Amino acid sequence: MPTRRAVFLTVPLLALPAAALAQTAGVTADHAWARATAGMGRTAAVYVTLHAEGGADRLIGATTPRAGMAMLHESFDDHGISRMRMLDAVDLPPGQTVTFRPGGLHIMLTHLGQPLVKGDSFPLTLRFAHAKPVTVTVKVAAPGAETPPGGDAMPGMNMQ
Amino acid sequence: MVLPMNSRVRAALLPVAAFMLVLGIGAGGWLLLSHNAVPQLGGIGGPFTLTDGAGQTVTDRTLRGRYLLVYFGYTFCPDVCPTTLTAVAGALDKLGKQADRLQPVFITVDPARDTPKVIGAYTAAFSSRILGLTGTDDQIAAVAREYRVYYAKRRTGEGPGDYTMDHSSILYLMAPDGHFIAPIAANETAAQMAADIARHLNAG
Repeated sequence: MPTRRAVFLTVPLLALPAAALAQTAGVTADHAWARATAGMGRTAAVYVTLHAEGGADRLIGATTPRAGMAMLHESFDDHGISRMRMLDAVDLPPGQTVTFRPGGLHIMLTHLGQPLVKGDSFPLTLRFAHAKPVTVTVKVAAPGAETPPGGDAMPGMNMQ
Repeated sequence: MVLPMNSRVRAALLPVAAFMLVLGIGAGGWLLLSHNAVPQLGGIGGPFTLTDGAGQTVTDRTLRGRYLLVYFGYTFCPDVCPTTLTAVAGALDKLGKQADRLQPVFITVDPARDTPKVIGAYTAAFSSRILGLTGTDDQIAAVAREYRVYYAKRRTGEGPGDYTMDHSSILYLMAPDGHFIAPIAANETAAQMAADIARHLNAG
């Protein structure tokens, strides 16, 4: 019977994404910021704060019209050597906040069309393993700024 | 894009291997540094000939008579170098008049991309008092050797400009006569850096 057969095929196809969605109410992304490029710099780092609302998720990529390439990167100090590693994904544990910040996790932009100037803002779309893509507005701070522009306290820092 | 695994791995490893060979001495210095041997280790620093942002030649002798704060990095560095150079600029502000005795120097480990114009514009974005220096591959290799600095290229893509640099995360405080005084960690805050530098300037 054609009808029964169709149902048979459809059920497993629907079941997989449904199971994934059940574990993930989505990812919120805020405090997206970058530093102005210094001199003729053609690279920049974007920092953002991510929170997996439901189940575990993973950040798997980012894109922005401002840069030819956006890579997930982590800076780390290895016995007195500054190194950066490219990451395929960044784990977002359920219910936890993951903060990208200078000296650690960042989204490295290369092949910038235009320098990033303090006061600029631009869209960045984040892609996740489970949650729908999220587009955030990245605000540009001074070169070498340590915190997002606008004097926002970094989330999770318990500033009082 | 879909190269066989072997040639992809080989393509990725060859430049790294070449760099490691060329920089064997630098790597040796790094090994010594990583074992906290810095205060006992003589011979950090030495003669160099480099080029500043205006295209002028700068040597170790040009800079004698002032304390130097020497840091190696590169201008395509998106995350760590801006943090460190901002801390250096902040330390200069905090040191006030004492900073007149100090010349911060930023030497690129990426001379292929950091031309004099590029390095000069980069350091100026942080402070006009930071001196950016570049040179030929040989000049950079020589000064890195003198300072026991490790650096290596890491590819991030297929294009000729798709790479980042690993580099030592230590700043070197040098005496007015060119002798090494103390290392300063690149991840110190401006306040920590200013305090560390002031301690040595006051002792000298």
